Amino acid sequence: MTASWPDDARPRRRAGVLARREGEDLVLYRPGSESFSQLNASAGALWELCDGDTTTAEIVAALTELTGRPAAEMRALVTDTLDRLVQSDLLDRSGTAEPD
Amino acid sequence: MTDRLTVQVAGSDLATMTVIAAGLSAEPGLEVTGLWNGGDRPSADVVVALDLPPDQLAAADGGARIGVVALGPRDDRAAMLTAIESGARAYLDREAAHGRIAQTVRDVAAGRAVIEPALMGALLRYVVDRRRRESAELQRLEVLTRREREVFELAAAGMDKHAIADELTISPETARTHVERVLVKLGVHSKVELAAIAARCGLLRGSREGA
Repeated sequence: MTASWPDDARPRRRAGVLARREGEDLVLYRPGSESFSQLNASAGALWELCDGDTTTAEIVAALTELTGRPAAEMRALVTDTLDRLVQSDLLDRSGTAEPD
Repeated sequence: MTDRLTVQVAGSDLATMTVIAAGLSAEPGLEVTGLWNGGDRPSADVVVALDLPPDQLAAADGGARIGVVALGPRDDRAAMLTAIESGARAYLDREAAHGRIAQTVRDVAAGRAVIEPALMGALLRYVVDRRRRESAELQRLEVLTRREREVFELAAAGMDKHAIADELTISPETARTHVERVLVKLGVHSKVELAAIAARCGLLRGSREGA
């Protein structure tokens, strides 16, 4: 799945999604849908960074610097989280390669 | 290499600092070497800093061989961000149990940053923005030749022409010429401004590792 999020991809939050912080979690709701998503602190932080301008490379670099963890590990975490956010219809895929 | 980490507790609330120090002293693998409330820099592997303002936090960071664990008000995002920006590797609620503080000291010593989950988003944004600024500043340096870049870094670190000459095995006059060219190319007038550029490029961070 990594190939679907190249370094220069600029993931963007789905327009119109409403967010509310509940403790450490971020609760997201799309008006008109019948469900909501509850993201933990890390996933919520990544979703908030997805402004259509920040690249995946920048997100990975920042996360690597902040956590002191290996970059490859952080890249896997970021791509996995972005994939899950797309599956939950919370992110646009614009700026990314469509998976085969 | 000793397997005990030295720790100093820094702050201005001596009563609370003393209690924290007593708790940490009881933790395996930690040796509390004293309290610090200003004056000379603290000196320990890890400094646990209680409610320190940014300037003192930076001083504590300069004295910590490994890093600083900042303690401050819970849920105060501004305080947390300020602490991390000032060099702290971790931020905990000032009322955190001493066992939690001790584990955080060990985590920091092991190279792990400890970030409150609620702060992660703001910190990531901060780091992304700071890295962009640094990248933009680094592009300014592309006008310099490789030699001028070396001279830039030495001058920004405060070296005079004689020290630069010694470092690069060139004459002081040549060093002076290089410095003048660097100033002209970067459009600045003093080494202080060079140091400011180096700081904005992130070139002054990580000096502790090289010490």
